[in-house]
Amino acid sequence: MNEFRTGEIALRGVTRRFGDEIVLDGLNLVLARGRVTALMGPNASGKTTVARLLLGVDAPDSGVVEGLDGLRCAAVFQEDRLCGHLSAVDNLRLVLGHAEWPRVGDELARVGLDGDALTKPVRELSGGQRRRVAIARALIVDADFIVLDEPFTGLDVDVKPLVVSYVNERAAGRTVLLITHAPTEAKALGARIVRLASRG
Amino acid sequence: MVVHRDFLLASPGAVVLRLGELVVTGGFWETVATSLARIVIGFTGAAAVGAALATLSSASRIAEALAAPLIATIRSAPVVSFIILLLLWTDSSRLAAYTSFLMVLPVMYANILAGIRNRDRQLLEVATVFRIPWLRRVRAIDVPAVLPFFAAACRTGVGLAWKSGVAAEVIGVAQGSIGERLYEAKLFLESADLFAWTIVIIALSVTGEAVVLWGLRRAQARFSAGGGS
Repeated sequence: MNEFRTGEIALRGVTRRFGDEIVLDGLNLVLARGRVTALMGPNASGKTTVARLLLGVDAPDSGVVEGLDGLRCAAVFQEDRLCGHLSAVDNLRLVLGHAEWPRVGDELARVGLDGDALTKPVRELSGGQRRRVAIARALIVDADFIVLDEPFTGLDVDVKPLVVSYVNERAAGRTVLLITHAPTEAKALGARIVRLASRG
Repeated sequence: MVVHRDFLLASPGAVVLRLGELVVTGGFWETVATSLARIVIGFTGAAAVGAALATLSSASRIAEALAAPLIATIRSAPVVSFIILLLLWTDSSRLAAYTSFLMVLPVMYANILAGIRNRDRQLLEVATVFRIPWLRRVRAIDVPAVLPFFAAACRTGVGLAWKSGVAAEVIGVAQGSIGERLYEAKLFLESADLFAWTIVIIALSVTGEAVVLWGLRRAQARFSAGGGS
């Protein structure tokens, strides 16, 4: 594994509007270095917008996003966002250098995927299996900063402890933003909890 | 109503007989090969240029602003106008390739551009976040999204290429081409020849379409099997 770069990542005075709706209004947020920060709050409070700004796939209307230059990022999005026609193995290979490909099988085994589940197109897997592929894809990458947007949603009850344990191990020492509604998930990952207030 | 005049309307039996006579001659296959080569050149050229223009248009508003009126003009203008214009500029042996190219280009451009715009935005964001290399992104995300649109363009385009290409050969009386055989059939009132060559054109068009779609299915399977490699 690489040594992760853990410079401070922050949103300062960030405002984001969609049409007339103000989703974030002058938000300040600093993510603790090498720690898991859990972002909690009611629906539509802007949690996913924060994640999108930090991942660089959206831009604030005002304010600044700091500390992301040169960082390698990874994410479990709210949706699985896998290439449905590719296998679990190929979905992970897609984000890795060739030298790292031998690790893929072991990584998928860590989240309880093996046999046919590795080689058939992921669109033929169950929702819970696809979620585990998405989680393994984000955590196999030697990323400096990881966003986990409700990562455990849709997991089968019997495999959830295995996956939480895997995430806990892989997230250690990295700067992670966990978006969740469940305090138990934040606690399981030893996260510092930040709450976004509902607007209006 | 005129009956019992084979030169006006050949019977099915006479057409089949004539087709049988034609296919055993070396000249028949030379004629087919000549027209096939010209139309394949026009079709593949249209696919390549259509793909390039669509890619540029999807990436740049200026490129789209330049390409869109050109494509609209080509799409709207009567094919015969192009054929006559091309006859002034080039010799008849190249006419079929140019005409097929011009008729298929708008179909390719519009479909491939629609395919590019139909790509999954969420997957493109994944590619950005994970910094997936360009070539891998093209193979895993772009090509699978565009292939069904390209296949639809090919389905329409192959028939269009044959129809317009042979029409150009007839008007230009391109030597050694299927169009020339059709022109001669008209000139000498050989309706059996006319129908026989029409059957040949239909067979070539249908076979061409089947071959292109088979190739695309194979390409799709290949991308499905190893998009990450």
